[in-house]
Amino acid sequence: MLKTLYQQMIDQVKPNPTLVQAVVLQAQSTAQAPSPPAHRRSAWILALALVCSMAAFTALASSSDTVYQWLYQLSPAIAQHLKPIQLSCEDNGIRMTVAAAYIHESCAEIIITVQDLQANRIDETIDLFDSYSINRPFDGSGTCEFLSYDDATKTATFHIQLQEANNHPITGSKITFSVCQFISHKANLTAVSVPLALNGLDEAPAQLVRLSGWGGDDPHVFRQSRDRNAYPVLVPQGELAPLADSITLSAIGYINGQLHVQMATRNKLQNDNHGELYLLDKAGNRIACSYLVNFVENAHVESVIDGASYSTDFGITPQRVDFSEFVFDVSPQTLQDARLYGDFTLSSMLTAGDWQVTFPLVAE
Amino acid sequence: MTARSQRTAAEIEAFIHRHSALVYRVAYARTNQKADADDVFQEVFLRYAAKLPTFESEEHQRAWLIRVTLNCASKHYASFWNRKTTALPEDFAFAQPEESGLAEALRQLPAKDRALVHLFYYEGYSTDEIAKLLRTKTSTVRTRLTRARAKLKVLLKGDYDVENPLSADD
Repeated sequence: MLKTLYQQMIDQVKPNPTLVQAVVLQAQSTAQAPSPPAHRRSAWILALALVCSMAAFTALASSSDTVYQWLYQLSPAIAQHLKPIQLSCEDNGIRMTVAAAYIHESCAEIIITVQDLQANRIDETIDLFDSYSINRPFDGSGTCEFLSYDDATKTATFHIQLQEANNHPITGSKITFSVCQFISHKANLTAVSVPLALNGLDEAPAQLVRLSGWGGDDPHVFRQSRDRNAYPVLVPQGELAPLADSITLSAIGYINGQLHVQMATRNKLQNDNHGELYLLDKAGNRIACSYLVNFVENAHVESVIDGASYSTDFGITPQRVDFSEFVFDVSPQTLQDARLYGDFTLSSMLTAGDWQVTFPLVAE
Repeated sequence: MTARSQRTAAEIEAFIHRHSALVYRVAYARTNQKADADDVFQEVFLRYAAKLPTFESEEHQRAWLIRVTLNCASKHYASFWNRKTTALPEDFAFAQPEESGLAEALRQLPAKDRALVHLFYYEGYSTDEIAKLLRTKTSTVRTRLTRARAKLKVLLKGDYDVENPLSADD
């Protein structure tokens, strides 16, 4: 069978560990590259304000070499071409402004600001986490990158980048950018010890579920007897141990000789709380999971749209619970002296509203 | 969609290790050259580190990684240097002769078709899911998969049962 032969062949294709380690170091360095210092962030906001008051950024550049330099350092590719938009909307004491945009070939660069006019709901950890949508007259993909936060004005700035599918030039007359909620005041908890004895763990009750996601070393995940629509996971046992806000350890035990550790998260789609579990052996060495799978419970939704019926097992319901099951290739002997730990990212504030701005799409 | 968020060095390392096999294999399937796959692999995770996106689910995360990997591979091909140069014959030494034969046959498929074969036969996506992932029509995916299967059947000289992918589909 071609499928079996292909799987056997591709199973042997793996990145060189040296390459992986080099990429890890580069990625860590890239991610932790210093944020623009405060004076540069202020300059970015100031420059955006200026850019919005001028006909084109080129005019700004000629009038202020200093600001141009600041902007250029922050985003040289787009700084020279941003054109003012300055259209705003306001809801729930939050003002969202499309400050500037630059449309070129198959790409649209958009700068938006979000300002809290009433309270302190915005900080440097603000995250739009898929709560925004972009209606545009073309197919494509988009990303939203946090640029800066200015504490004095309680304003966060984002860079939206849209890429038209197939790299065709962007055509059309307008784009609508909308946001319905955001999270903020996020905190990272690292190396949280899970108060659970790991010795004596045995085979545990399993059930077959439809996976909502998976990750890790794939050969372990999908093989002939392992169907993503009927994948063996632990049966949730309630709250075995609290891990972090809205996250609990819900089951632990062996399935087919592999240790499964199950984590349950409530309101995940509302707060984006998430985490990763790992083991530390007797010598303090970190043992990462070989792979993880995800599934949800209580998320079946049926709806009718334009007269047509739709149903999904991964809908948003108040009772929805998101499970992540971490699978480790460790023996019971190794576990005797090991401990379970977790790193978690939590959000303490969710702000909802209806912010929507439509602006003209004018390519250069 | 994505938004930049804070990640620790350990989180980034864990993310890369968790998804390294997925990204590398998609990159290799698309490029069919070890050296190119190395380049694309590096580019994908540097893009991740630059944006630090958050995802609504593992499924979303996986789709993002596959899409970015295919985009990076496509751009890698499109670059002047790579269009005008010939890669060194460095590749994986597969354990069985038939696996090497399949690798050679795959090399003769269009790069886009190789990616489809991988997503269908290895990642387990249905043609509908692949179409959504690649933002194209299901009929296009099915046509290209059928064409790839037919070509593989000829190249492998009937040594293997190249089953109709559509019969194994949902």
